[in-house]
Amino acid sequence: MSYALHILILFDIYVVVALSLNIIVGYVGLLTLAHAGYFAIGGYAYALAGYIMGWEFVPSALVGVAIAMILSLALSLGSWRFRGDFFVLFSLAVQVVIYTTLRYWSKPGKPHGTWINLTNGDFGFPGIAKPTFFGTRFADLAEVAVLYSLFALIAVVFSRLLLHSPWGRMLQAIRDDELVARGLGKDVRLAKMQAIGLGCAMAAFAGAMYAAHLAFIDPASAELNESILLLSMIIVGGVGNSVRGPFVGAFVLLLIPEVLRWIELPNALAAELRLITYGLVLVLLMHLRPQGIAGTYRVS
Amino acid sequence: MQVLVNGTINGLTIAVIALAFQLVYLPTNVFHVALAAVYVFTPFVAWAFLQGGATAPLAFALALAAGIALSFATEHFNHAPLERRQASFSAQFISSLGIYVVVVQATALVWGNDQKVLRTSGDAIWKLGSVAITESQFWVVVGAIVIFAGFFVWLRFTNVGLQFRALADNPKELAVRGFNIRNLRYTAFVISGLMAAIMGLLTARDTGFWTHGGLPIFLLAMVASIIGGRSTFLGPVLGGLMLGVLRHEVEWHVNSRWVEAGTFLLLAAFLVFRPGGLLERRARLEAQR
Repeated sequence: MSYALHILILFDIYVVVALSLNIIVGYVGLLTLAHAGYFAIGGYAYALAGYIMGWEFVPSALVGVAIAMILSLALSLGSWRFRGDFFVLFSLAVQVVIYTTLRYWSKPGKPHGTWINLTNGDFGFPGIAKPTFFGTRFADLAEVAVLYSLFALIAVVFSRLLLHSPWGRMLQAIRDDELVARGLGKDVRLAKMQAIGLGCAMAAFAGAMYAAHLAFIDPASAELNESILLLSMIIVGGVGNSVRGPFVGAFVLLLIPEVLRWIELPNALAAELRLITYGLVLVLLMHLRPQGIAGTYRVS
Repeated sequence: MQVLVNGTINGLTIAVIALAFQLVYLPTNVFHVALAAVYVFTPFVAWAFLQGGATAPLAFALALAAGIALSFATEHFNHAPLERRQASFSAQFISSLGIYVVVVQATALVWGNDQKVLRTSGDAIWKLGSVAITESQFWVVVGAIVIFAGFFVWLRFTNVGLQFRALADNPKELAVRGFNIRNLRYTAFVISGLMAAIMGLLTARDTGFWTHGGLPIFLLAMVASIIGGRSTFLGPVLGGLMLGVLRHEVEWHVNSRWVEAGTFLLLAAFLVFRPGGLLERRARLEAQR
């Protein structure tokens, strides 16, 4: 039972990340490799706010959201000038800077969470508080699963409302033909900034959920490989619709390792096979169904 | 001086991979991420043959053939069919990323994730005044110089080289004039694979190899190609050398922790202030891609 609950919790977290990435990739049409960085920022901010200030889940997570929104400006500035391969490269630069900052803002031997050893480097940040609301601690897996399912539901509703609004349609117009959108008087730069800010903020919130669930976070969660994995999730699921694609992507991302576990392969073998399957799925989808399993828009 | 020499040698490796990347990117607009897989895969093949009792020249020759075959296969089975369907840049990029993941993980599955070495004995060290250079480093320098010389002579003085330059300039017009674009694309992938395979073997002999060593050098090669200039074949060579020297100087004189961040900040700065790179070639507006 606890295993199923753990899977449900991970699914909820992935749904929030996929929805956030769908805004940037599916609605603005920008391939970003920096998303794992913003996800990790949310996790670290939650950990630090809880550790230093003793704050509860919502205010701690909101600190991460605020930081991610501010730092998303780096990506937004890139989006003003670049599309396609140039934007991918720019997002890669942002990703590496975030990763190295999280990894190296540390000093061995000093207590973690201090200014000199903020992130604890490769050792990671241990002992992160479980989610707490108004003094009630969600320590039980079932409680966390219910809470996270509620968060995922809110993210789904929020994302659907937003992307079906005139603002969402404007993003689609910018994605399909930026010049025409600009010609129609739309503030393209502002819209991109808002969309990227929102996407990064949601990723940071998911990062806080992740850190609170595992009670640990390390720089590996900000690695380029993680960004590639998140991107593959959204590519596999499909982009361009508000909920269906991200949902399928999160499901597939969880399904593959679980199927491998089910056939009782050794852990090391299963880990390699999982990534091989992801890679194969990516290649096959680009040939057979570039819009993803449940997507409506071909990433271009 | 030693730092400068080490930086230059490291820069030569980056420069060759950057040239291999540019060789495919310029004429085909494909982000050949699978090149990192070629770089990783080749030393493992050589190592497997050496373990199986093959002589070193035979093992290296078979490994080079395997690297070239892998690069060729990525074009034949993946990029060419996508190109025929006029797939977007992103589709090409994502599929290449997928191939990279599959090849690297399959390599890890077969040969494991631990670091290996191609050398069976210690390296000879030669001293030139205050500078020391190992035998493996010497072969990296020789290999890189031979690759650069061979490539630029081929590009400048052969008929195929001329067609290749034309392909890099304007592939559509070359196709309209009746040249076989498909064969030229294959040539690009084969030469690119050969370059990555040679450098994979030489650096594996120098510093060892493991399954995840390809992506970092590939990313540096991309940075070098942006810094040097994406519209020429000389740009990546210049960018790679500069990057190698700069990274070693920063590592030695400033702080090794922030070398990666510094490298990618430099990339961001170039993208914003000089996206065409150092050897930017100005073209008429309608000719710019």
